[in-house]
Amino acid sequence: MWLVLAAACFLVAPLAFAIGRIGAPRPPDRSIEHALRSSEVRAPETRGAAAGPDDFANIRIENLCDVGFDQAYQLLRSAPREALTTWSRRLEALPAGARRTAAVKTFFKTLAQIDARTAVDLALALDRHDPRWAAIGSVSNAVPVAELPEVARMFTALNEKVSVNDLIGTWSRSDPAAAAEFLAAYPGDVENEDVASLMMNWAALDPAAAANWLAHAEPKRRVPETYASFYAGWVEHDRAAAFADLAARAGDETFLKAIETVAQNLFTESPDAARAFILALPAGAGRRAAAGQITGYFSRVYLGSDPLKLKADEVSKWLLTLPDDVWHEEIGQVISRWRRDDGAAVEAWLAQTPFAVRDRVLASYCRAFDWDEPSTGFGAGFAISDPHLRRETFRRIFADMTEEAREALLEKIELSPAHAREITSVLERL
Amino acid sequence: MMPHRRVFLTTLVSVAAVSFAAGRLLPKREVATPVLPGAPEAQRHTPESLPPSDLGIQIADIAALPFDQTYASFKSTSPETLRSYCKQLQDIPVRPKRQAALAAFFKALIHVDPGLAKDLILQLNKADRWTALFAIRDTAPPRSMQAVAEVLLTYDRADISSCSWDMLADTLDEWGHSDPLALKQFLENRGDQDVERYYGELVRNWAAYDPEAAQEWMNDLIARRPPSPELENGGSELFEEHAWRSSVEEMLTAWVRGFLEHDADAAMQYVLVNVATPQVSNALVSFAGELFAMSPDRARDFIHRLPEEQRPRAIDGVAEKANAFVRSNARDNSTSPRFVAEWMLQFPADVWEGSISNVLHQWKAADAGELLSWMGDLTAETREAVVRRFPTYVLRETAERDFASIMQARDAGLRDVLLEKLMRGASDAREAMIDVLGRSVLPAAEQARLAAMIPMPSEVMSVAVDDGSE
Repeated sequence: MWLVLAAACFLVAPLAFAIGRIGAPRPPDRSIEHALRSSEVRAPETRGAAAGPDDFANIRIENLCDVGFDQAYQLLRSAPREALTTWSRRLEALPAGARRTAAVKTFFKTLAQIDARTAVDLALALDRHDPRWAAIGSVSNAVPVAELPEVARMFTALNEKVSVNDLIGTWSRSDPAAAAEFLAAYPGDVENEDVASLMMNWAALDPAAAANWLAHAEPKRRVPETYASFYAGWVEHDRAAAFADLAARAGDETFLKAIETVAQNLFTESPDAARAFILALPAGAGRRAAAGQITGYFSRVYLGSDPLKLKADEVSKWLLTLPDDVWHEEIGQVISRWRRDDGAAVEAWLAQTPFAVRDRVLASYCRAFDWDEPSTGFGAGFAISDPHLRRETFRRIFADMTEEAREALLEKIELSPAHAREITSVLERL
Repeated sequence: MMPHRRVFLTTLVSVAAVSFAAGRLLPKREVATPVLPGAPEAQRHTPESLPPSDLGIQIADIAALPFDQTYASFKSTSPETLRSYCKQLQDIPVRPKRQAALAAFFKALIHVDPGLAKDLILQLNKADRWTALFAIRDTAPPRSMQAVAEVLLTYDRADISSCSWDMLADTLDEWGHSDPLALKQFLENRGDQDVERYYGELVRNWAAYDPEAAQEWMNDLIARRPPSPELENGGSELFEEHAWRSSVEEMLTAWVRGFLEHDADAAMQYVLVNVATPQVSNALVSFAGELFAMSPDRARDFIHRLPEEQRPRAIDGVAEKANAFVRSNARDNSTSPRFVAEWMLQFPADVWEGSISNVLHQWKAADAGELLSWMGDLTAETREAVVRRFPTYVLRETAERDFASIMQARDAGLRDVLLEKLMRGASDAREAMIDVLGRSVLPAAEQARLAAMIPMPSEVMSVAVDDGSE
């Protein structure tokens, strides 16, 4: 009898222990409670003893940004949905200002990483404009990649003119097909730059699928901007195939932007790669557009920062490795910029330039003369050995100028008697 | 036999009850830390023992892992292993996959070891560094904001800011929201890194918590280096002097705004008493706007207590709060253009007329039909003032849309007067507007009459020169 009892107890005890353990609620971390109750930032009256570990309502969620991430994370992870809902409402009700913004952002950033669906639901449920948008922004930024469909759901539910560019850019890195599906159904504004973001990533991962999508997209999506991104992505996936395809379309103006973009991307990666691309294009507008995208950095005016930080000496030398119909109109601007940095280096480089191309380099350099200091550019013009090219170079400079502009320019140039006679001769034949 | 059975059952039930209670009440052990799939438990602390090829495959898929799993794993991973993970991610050849993985890696790492995250980001190539920077900026908790700011400080300032945005300012502002004292320390330790322009972010956030301390710090700073007076007639000055004067002006404005957040009543009293001083007067526009955002009623009462000549500037601050993205029927519509416009109309027209253009502009962009309907219901005198300020500057690209929006007006009189105003503002889009008129439903004579009102660009310039106006 006692043996049977002992055996029964032996069996029942671990079973009952396990049942009790599995059913036990998980208490919030007491250290979190302490931190959230004892923050120095809050007024003393906000501090107080909690009723117990289950009493999430006593947590001072307003102080969430005063605790370490791990504590905030453990707290939100352990909190039931009702507590999270109450807390988000309490944060929304805080007076406008830095504290509210900080608390809302910390709460939603943290929650988005733990439970994206709840974070989205709670953000959408907020009424007040500023905290609502702070929450929406925090959620969309912090959600892990795998949960991005939740952000898509949030944007769709918002039914506002919200830019989806960041979402598409991020989502299409890992699941471009899902991002494309979302874009196709999204009721808000979809810009071509959103489609371009999608194409850039999708073509790098699966160019055939990206091309198929673009082919069946609305006609307004098949524009130079989106093709440029498509080819930029495809080049990453299969350079030879992308080059060949783009070369076959080089005569179509719609693809010139793609050629420019690919040339620029390749040049920043390796000038040799950019050269290979340009040489893969048929002679003509495509090649000039590709080189012009690089040289344009020295002739255009940019506001703000220079994204590529190209060096004029490197670009000048690189241009000369290309067929001269590609560079002879453009190289002068680049040399002119180089001269501003290091005139002696330009002179030395020009001196060792192969005789066969030197005249054309000098002609381009002359035509790109600096209005504030034209003597240097004109000096290059007078150094052209072919008299016909020399005269033609000067003729082109003066042909489109008004009489006043010519006079103003000539006043600035120091001319020897022989050079003055040559210029006079050119001007007489205009 | 019966007593034996009772003892048997009692004993059994007691044992079960005690065991159940023990299971329920004994503290649970720490939940086992998840590790990246495939990383053997015994090996996860020792990078040299991890088979590189296996780990490479696992870490490359990091973007697919739930944050919980990555975070827990990183917490128990040595810095050396994390460095090796980063190196492997950099080697992923396909850019989108690499960037997705790097973003997930740094989003987790910034929570675990912000210093290491910063160090690793600085070792990345330019393109990948942007990806990692955005990842930590988007997710960093307050205590990791310093690492984000330090990474941003390594960039050329022109790469992370323009005239309308500044990533470093945004980051410092977000940090200052939660820990202004840490931000103060950070800025003071980097006096040689051109951070004075961000003192406004510090002072505003600090004043929201402790206005006296923020003011003392600011005043001490200004006393040690008083800004030089602005040169008249466009005289040239050192850039540093100009920048410092701007920083000081910004701090003074920022302090008043921070004070408002700390104690609205005291701040209002302070502004009312000191509004004649340049530093408070300069802050009035933004102060009134912030106060309106807190409480439109308090803003109204505050503006009524201002000297008359200051009221239009305060109203300007409120007008700036009108937001085209807030609909009139939104749950919180207090910054909808309609709410702001109607709030402004509580004041006499001479107080709001100079400011209402921005509100109308926002409203027109959001819902031109609603705006025109509202204008149609205004009293004649108010409508006249609103029409005078109705935005009608036209670009080639917007000519059709601008014309169509005015054609929505049901009130024919209002439509006609706005169309005439639109034509007079269409000099830069003359051809486009004539084309739009030609395709419109208006009678030909009306089309011609309106077309004749569109000035040539030169006419506009000569009028401006004659008037001596801009």
